[in-house]
Amino acid sequence: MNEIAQQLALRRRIAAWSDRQQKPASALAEQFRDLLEGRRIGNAQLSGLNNIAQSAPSFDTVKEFVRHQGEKAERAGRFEVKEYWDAIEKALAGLEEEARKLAQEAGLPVPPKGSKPKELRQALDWLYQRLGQEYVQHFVAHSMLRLPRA
Amino acid sequence: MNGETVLSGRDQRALLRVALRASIARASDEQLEDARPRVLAERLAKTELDNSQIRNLENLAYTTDKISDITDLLKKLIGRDTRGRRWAKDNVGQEVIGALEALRTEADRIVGELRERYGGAVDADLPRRVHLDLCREFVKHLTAEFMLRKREDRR
Repeated sequence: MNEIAQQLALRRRIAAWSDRQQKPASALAEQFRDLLEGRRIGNAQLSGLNNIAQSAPSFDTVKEFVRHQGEKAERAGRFEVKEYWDAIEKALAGLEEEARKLAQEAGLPVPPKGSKPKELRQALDWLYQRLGQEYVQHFVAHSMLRLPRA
Repeated sequence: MNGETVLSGRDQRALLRVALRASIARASDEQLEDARPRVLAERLAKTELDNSQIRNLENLAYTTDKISDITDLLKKLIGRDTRGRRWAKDNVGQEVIGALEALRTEADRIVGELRERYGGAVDADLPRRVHLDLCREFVKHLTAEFMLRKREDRR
């Protein structure tokens, strides 16, 4: 397969992955509907998360931002908000394995399982970031949606 | 010899593309007969939405390779409409999302039929891509009807 065909195939894989992830990302947002409705998580925080995910130089920066938000909430005694950021952190951490699998399926050079996290990060950070951008976009979009009140 | 021609993989893929185009065109015309885009466009035309806002949705639908990009945009637009004057009015935006998501059933049906004829040429991602094409057709009808209704309302 030539390079352009490989890039197109990877792009299609990422698109399919992203479409599949919309449901779980929305479900995660839905779990915290009470915090969103109660304005304990506002549009500014959601936009902040989305901006970081879309523009951060590395995936670690995104995770660091999320961790920092959780720590801030904890220091302020807002434990339910801390739980919210912890859940996002966990979801983002799960994307690293997803990226590894996706890269393998696409035939990209992937360090073998059991490689040092640093090696994996160096090879796959761009893909971690890409998947993170997709996941966060779904999560934030669904969070912004105001469902009709019962 | 039974006289059947054995097609190469390349020929099968070419025939699949032609058949797909025909199936999507048929489904697109059926969308109009079904009146769903027309009904939703009529309701959208009664909101404060203007042509440029609905054209943004159409442009995105035709440039993205993900259905989720279209529905994410709609979710954000509904969320931003805090006064309920545009996409959030009477739940119309949510119904557009629902109509787009429901097109997956039609996409699965189309691919199911094609799989019987062109099995080897059908890949696992095809239903999603057909779904995206059906969403594009739907948004195209929605936009056209919306613009017509808006113009009529202005008269």
